[in-house]
Amino acid sequence: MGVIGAMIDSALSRVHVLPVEGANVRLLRIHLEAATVRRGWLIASTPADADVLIVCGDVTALQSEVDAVWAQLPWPSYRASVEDATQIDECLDGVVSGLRIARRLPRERPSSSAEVSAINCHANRPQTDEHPDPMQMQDSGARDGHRDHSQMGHGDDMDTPTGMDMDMGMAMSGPGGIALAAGSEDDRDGLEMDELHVCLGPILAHWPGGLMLRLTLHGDLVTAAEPEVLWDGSCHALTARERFASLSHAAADILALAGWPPIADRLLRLRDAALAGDDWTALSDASRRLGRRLRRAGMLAWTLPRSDTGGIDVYAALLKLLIDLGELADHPHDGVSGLASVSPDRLADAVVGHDLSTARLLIAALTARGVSAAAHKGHR
Amino acid sequence: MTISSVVGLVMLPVAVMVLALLAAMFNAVLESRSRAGALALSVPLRESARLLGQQRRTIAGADSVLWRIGGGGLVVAAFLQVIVVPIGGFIPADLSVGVVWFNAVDVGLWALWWLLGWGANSVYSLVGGYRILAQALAYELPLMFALTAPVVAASSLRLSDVVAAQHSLWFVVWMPVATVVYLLSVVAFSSWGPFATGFGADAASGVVAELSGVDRLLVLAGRYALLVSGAAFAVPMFFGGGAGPLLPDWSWVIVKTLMLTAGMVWLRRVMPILRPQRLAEVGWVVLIPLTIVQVLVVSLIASSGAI
Repeated sequence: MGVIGAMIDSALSRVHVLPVEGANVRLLRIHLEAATVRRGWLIASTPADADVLIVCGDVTALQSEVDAVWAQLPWPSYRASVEDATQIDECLDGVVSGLRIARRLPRERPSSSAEVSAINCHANRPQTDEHPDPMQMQDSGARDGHRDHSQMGHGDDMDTPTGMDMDMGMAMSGPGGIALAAGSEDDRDGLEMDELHVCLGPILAHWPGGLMLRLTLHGDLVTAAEPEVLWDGSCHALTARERFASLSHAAADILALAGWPPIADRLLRLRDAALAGDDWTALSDASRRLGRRLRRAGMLAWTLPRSDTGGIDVYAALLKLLIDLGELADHPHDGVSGLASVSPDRLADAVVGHDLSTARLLIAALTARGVSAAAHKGHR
Repeated sequence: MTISSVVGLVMLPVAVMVLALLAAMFNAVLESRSRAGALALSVPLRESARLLGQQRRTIAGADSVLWRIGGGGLVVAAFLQVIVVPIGGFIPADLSVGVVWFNAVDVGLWALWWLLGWGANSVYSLVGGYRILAQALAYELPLMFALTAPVVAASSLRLSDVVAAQHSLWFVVWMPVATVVYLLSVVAFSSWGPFATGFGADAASGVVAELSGVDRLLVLAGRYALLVSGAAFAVPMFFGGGAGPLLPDWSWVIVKTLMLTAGMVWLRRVMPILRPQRLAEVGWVVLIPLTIVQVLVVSLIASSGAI
């Protein structure tokens, strides 16, 4: 054993898991997160923070993004997948031994290169490109299947100097072969070189699965947004418990984005209690207690976007979620009222003109009940 | 310089890091109340072990030198802040401009946080850096006025003089506004709790979004170390230095530092993150006038010779 062995054991008691939500498997992801937290492990906020990448369900629609994110995990890392909730525990058991094996592997994984990623968005684009093709601009880059030749963003070269060679021959001027950020004519502040292009989703913490939103940022102000929905969102009819879990997870996402982890954790415990089959009256009481706690939270009401956001009051939406949770717990056997969902175009309209923080909160509030399947594929 | 002061200077960073570890443990215990997982006290140690065994990431186009300076500089800034703090009879560096020294280091934190956000060449890091600067605009001037109040009362920028001036009455009693503003500013320059906007989940954890391994550990430890150093500096400024019954002076400094640190760590539990655009208004419209009035009141009392 010795010191190193003890350190490895310690590390394996704090595994950080990065879940990837495949097509229409929101509940599977929720089950996975619940099982992860039950072990005292954590949900990673970014690939850099993660030890393990776990793919839930079918990700053929975003295979290249998954590979790009996988390449960003620091050594030692491990990758696994689950197809349904019954496999989760077995999968997580395998993580510990998988990470032990990964530690014996060389640090330079053969697959690593200067990957562009779906989550680590690039600040730059070629200045020469007057009519940038969105498919080329996006951070996930290589949906065209030529990732090795389209190094547009700043990926992670994983300590391999060869990663930099990938940019040879590209007409780029900035450090690392990446173009400098450009300015544009309709710049709000006259600052040059602060226009950024960033793609939110599809692999991002506290973000609805299957949604991508390509943003143009000036500093951190959103000046343009273009949505894409990766799959049709058809989901099997949810049971009352599953709806309860889904709604409480959505409310926890809003609170996590607002930066209040203790209360977000309480909502996640409520979610886990619902999935574990707790008594409905207990769930109802807990929802109402949390609702009262949030109504008393003056600081939260003050800091959340409310009136200046085109009629979207994030605080009110959060309180409404808690009220709905209480009512759902009171009448779990009432008819299944489908979760009202929001169209992707509405999301894009809502975020333009706001800073990134407000935009994230607005999206979390708007998508709490799901993103509609409104065909917005191939938006070009 | 005597042998004992050299030993003291060497031990000072160790002491700061031990207190920072205690702060992290306290935070883990608070967190365990809303999260699963036993052995909360060992969480910071296990997390450190995990990060020490992890690869440091490099990113194409990252300004690695500036990035590493920003990340590693935080703990250094914390050490620099505490060297002017009198610990009982031992004063690591009894500068005649101790308060200005502290303020200079705290302004230096602007640069460190910004380098950390800038260096990664990542949108989320950059946005985190922007936010920390926007927030700094809201708290820095109130902080400077808050630091002025004890200085005016003691008629000295030297920390030992400030402690001596509190012989009869601690400054916290008649400078409550300055004390509160100062402590909130410490939480803000440590990017902690309600002022952790640069680490926000809404920017994929902002300035640490791309950090792994020892680099991440240094930043996370640096935040706790800054909370500790800010608390340690508050002790001679507002809380009577080493004054206290029974225990020796140096241990009172440590006890008071720990209590103030615990309070600041706890703040994270009771409040969400306050967004910088909201804070700027409070900082400039409410806190600056309040702290100026505080300094005015202190000046009047001090010049009248009442204290």
